[in-house]
Amino acid sequence: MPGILPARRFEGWGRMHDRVLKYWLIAPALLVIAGTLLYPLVSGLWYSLHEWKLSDSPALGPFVGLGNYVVAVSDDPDLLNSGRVTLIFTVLSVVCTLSVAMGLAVLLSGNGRLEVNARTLLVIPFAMSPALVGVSWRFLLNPEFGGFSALIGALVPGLKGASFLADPTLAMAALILCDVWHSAPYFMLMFIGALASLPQETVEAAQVDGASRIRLFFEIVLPQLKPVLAIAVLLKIIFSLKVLDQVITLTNGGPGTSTETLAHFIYQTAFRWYDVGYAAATAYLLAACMAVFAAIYFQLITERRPA
Amino acid sequence: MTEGSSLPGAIAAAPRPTRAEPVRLSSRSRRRIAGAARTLTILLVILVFFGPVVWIMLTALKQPRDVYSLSVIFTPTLDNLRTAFASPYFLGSRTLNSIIVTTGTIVLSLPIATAAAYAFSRFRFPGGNAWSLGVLATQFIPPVIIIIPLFVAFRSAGLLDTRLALIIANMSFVVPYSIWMIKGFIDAIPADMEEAAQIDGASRLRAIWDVVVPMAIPGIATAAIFAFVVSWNEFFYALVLSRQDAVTLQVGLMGARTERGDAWEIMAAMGLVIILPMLVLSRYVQRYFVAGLVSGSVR
Amino acid sequence: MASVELVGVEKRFGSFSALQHLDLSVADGEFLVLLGPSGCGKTTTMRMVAGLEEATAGEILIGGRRVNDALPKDRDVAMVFQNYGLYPHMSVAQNIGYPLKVRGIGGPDREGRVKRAAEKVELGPLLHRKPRELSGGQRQRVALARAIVRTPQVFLMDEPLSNLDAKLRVTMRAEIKHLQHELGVTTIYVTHDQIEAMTLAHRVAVMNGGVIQQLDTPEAIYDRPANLFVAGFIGSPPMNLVPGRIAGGTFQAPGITIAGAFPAAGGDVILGIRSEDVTIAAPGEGSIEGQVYASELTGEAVLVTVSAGGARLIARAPRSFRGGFGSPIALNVDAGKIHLFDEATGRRIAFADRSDGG
Repeated sequence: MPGILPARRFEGWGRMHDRVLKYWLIAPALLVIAGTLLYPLVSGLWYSLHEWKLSDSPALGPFVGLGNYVVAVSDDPDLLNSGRVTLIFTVLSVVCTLSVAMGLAVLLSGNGRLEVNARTLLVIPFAMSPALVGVSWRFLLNPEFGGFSALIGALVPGLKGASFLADPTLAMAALILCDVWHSAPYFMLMFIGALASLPQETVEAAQVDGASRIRLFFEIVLPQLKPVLAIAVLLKIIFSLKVLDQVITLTNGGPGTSTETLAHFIYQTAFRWYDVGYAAATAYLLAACMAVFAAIYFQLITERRPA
Repeated sequence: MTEGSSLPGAIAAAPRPTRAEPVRLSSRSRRRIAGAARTLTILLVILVFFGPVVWIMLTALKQPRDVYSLSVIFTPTLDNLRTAFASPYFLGSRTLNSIIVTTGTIVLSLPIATAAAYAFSRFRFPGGNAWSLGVLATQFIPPVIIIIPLFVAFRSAGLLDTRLALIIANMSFVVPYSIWMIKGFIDAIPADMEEAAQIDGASRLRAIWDVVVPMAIPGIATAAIFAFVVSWNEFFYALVLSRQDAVTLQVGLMGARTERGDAWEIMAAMGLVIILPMLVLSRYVQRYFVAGLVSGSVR
Repeated sequence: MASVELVGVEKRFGSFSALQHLDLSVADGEFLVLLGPSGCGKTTTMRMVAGLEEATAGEILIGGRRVNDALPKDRDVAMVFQNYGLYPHMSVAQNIGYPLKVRGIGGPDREGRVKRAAEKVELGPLLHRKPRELSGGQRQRVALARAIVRTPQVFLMDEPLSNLDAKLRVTMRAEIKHLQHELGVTTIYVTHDQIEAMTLAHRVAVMNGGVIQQLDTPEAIYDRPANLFVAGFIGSPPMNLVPGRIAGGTFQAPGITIAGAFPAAGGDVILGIRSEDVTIAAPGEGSIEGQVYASELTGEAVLVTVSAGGARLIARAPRSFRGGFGSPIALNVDAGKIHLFDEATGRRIAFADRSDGG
């Protein structure tokens, strides 16, 4: 902010000079961001350096330095389990979501009536709240009366009557299925946008050259989608790393801890066991993982923007 | 051909055309088969992605005894909704809370975001691009990290279980993203018009109000749709910050998990109320997603 | 109505210097055109008068009042933008009436003034239309009406005709000239089109590289360009410029010798002569011998490009002229119309034979 402000600024808003006004325009937004994001970030970091059981005392507990972090990285099998669960979930959900989304994009990129209507209908799963998505799939996968488990039972006889949410492996599969169902439509729209902006000549040239449809897709279309694909992968990684709502409503981490993602672990630590200091420390470890991917993401979108 | 050989003859006749005519089908019938396969695939996709939504909505209208069957034909009833509105589910007050929190978030966030978006679009700030990129970067902070200090702060301020607390928490993600979204729209509006307004005698603020805001309405409306969708669907902050009075529809879903098991018909009834506005707005919701794609991120 | 003065005005964008120490004074009621190629600083100069840019240094005065720190709304100027700057969500009438509305003038008074302004630019029947329902020329008129609806101290026009097609541009040019004369409002007009500058201006400021190259009447700028830039920028086709040397009262260049009352002090110079001051003669009968390089009929004349020695000169010949490619030809120059420029500085050299007073 310039050091000397003209005295005129006291004469009213209408007389305010741009060099002052611009700070007033962003002030409310900065206040919101500072209060609801920066303050929690900083105080969360401060909590993470303390041992603090909220159930015992409303005041901050003793300072333990990096103690919480040391425990987290060296001596917590539960956290290690959550890390493993998150890794498996992230890898599988990213691969499945983006493959399905790409398939959907190729299938529904046309402008026929069926395609346009299908696109509108497919937006609904993504517009549904993650919490409701979890609840719905809990219902749909119910072995006795769930519509979807009946469908799966008909297609894969081995899974007939299987209790999806009671088996560790099947529960993870259910969580991924539910996530793919929820987020694939979003990435489909992203890919359809990218497909539409492909230079049509490259496709036509390849057709004239006699490429089959499959070669056309893998050798001409897909390489040109690489920049969009890279952004989609990063975004989906970031979304998957922080997945929480569906976990709470679909499996609540179970059976046992077989679907307890990091975000769910932190949530339980903070609000079930009220171990706020430790929860904050593990939250920062998760944030650090996400920051790596967010940094690459920003690199990608800022170098793409000027082009 | 004799009568006796007619049956084998018919069977033998079947493959003959493929041998008599060229091995390939004519391109027209090939295209027709491919088209039919494609249509079938699209219908299957619709079934998989939209079927569950329909299923939930149908369940909400089933008699309790039909809920636990796979039947699609049933006598519709509003009994479940009636039960859900009564104790202990309080669908009415949950819905009211959701409406108030969502409306409050939109009404408070959009003016703040529009003002900041204009400033970031038109003025240079020391530090340049870092400001607006920093605003977007806040979208990648995991909610679990934010909620712990917010919970502690709201507890000591006596704001736990209030709708105000939920509105403030929602603003933490609605304001930054709306800034980013509206800024994109204002960037595309040439500065000529507001400069003309200032020379015509309007102050900068008046020029923003008279000229920029009317032209940015499509962008602000898109941001409003975004704010509506994410506030309406917000679950986690509300789960942590509310107990009884401020419980929203999303958190209310958890209330249908009783000790006697999940009350599916009640969950479905709540789900119906949650989905309905999305269905009504689906065209606009899609438009917001497409606009969000431009900036490459959606919460 | 008021005078406009810029005293020692500078403008820097970061490390880029857009204007270097500009002094300019526009008299009350004057029509001044800022002319120059894109990036020369003409638009920046005008935007500083409007208050849309801040001056880095120097003073800006309107009607004798220092306005450096005044907001655009308080400077009492009106501006017509290159892209018109019409408010797309307002009707024509609302657009024209906006300057009155923000000043709290309402009711029948505003209506009457809007109507009068609209009639002056022949927009009467279109008052209820939206800008997107108008043609380019009509939009231009709305912008003009919005400028004249109140009587501002100064009109600012930023390339107002550049988005119109050639035919309409000629019509609107005359209308602007007539309006300015009728209203008598001090006007600053920015353009890169020399015809607009010559036809409209009382005085023209030719700008290049953030510096005013010459500030004078259109006649003086055409007849006595102050330097090589102005000489080359004004006139179509551009002035013939031949580098050479003066020795013993004679100009010499490879293949060209021109005798005349040149200054005694010789040296390297650039000789300039406009195409209409060059006449065509039969081979052997002119001061410059050469061959026809090309000849182009423009309608009212023929432009003959002649290669002579190392140079090419353009002469304006009568429309009856016919000369095949490569045919020999001679040229004579009107010695009284010769311009000389210093080869090193590019500045005009005054010499005895010419009345270079003003």
